[in-house]
Amino acid sequence: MTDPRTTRRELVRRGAATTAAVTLAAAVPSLLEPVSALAKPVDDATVLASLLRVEQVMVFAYERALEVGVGVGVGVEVGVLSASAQPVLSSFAGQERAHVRALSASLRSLAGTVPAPPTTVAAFESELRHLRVRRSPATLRTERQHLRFLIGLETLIARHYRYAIARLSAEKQLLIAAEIMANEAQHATLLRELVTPGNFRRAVPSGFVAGMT
Amino acid sequence: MALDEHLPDGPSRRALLRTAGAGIAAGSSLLLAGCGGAAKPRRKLVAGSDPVAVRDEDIAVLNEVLDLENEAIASYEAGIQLLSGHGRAAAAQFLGQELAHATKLESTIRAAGAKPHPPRSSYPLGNPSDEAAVLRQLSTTEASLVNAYLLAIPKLTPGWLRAVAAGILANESQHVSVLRMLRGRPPVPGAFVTAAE
Repeated sequence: MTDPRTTRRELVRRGAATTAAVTLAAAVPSLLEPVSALAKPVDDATVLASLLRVEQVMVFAYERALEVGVGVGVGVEVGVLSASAQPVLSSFAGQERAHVRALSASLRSLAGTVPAPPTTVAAFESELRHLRVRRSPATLRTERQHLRFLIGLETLIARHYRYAIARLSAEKQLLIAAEIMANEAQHATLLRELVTPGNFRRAVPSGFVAGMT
Repeated sequence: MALDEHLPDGPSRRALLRTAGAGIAAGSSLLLAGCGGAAKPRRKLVAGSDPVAVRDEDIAVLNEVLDLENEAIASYEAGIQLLSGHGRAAAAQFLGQELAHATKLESTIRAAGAKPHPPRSSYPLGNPSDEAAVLRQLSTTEASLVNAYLLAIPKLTPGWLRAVAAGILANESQHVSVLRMLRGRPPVPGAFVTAAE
């Protein structure tokens, strides 16, 4: 006789896997081609420096989106962010800066050198090319485009953290990386919620945050 | 080298790959080789030339989080009946993901030659009587999972296993955010997801 609990579990499992696959394929932005900067065995300082470089890109990305989105910048995109999106992006920019501070402190504690952050749009775009981000932020016009671009970056950084956690050795660094990766995954969820409100299949598309694109 | 090549295939991963038409599984070179003897490493999961030993301590850690995943599954199965609208939709999605986590953990434990803990026949879930109580209970359950994975990750020996756990931790953190949102709370209150979540 079939155990009804087992049957239900199996059915839900199969359904969940199929749903996750379909949703993932549909929801993940295609603008990014992730690259592993950490493919070879490396020490913790090298791993942290690599993560820090991506976090610096995230800070610039959020700050630029806010600058353009609330009308500080000059151009046709001025004022594209809605009243619901602007405070979310502002909060996330602050959290990305906190990540940079934490990683910088960890890197310094390992006698590593903190990389210089991008301070110009040209340097930002150069970093994006290094990360194999194909879409130029200069082409972003609408709030939806900005949000999807940021979702793409959050997806990319999740992949970097996953690589990093596989390679870091010290407990302290592993914990920081895990805490930040989890926060970046929350960012991606909230950004997706802004794009498609109330659609939890899109907001949390997979049971495994892998940074897949 | 892609880290994904090191990850043992669970049903959900296979389904993902099959649906995406990636055909990566066919090219994967994950080999299972027993290491024998009474030494602590029970089994070597070998990808290419990168041997990664799963130790008894790793199995114990995985079974600890599996116990909590099974409790979370029971919580969602019991609570979903009292939810409606967005809460019910989110709970249905998250239940499927908790089941996928349990399946992944079970298959990883089995692949290492060990036995996964089975779900208990019952769990002390209390008697939440309305949606708010259910969402509060699910939030507590998810917070326990976040805490467990944060404790687990530094303890796991193989890097690929830490990466699997980190991917699940990140997903549990997303659940925490959505549940906070459904409860009218700030969904991402801090820059670091900590055990206090």
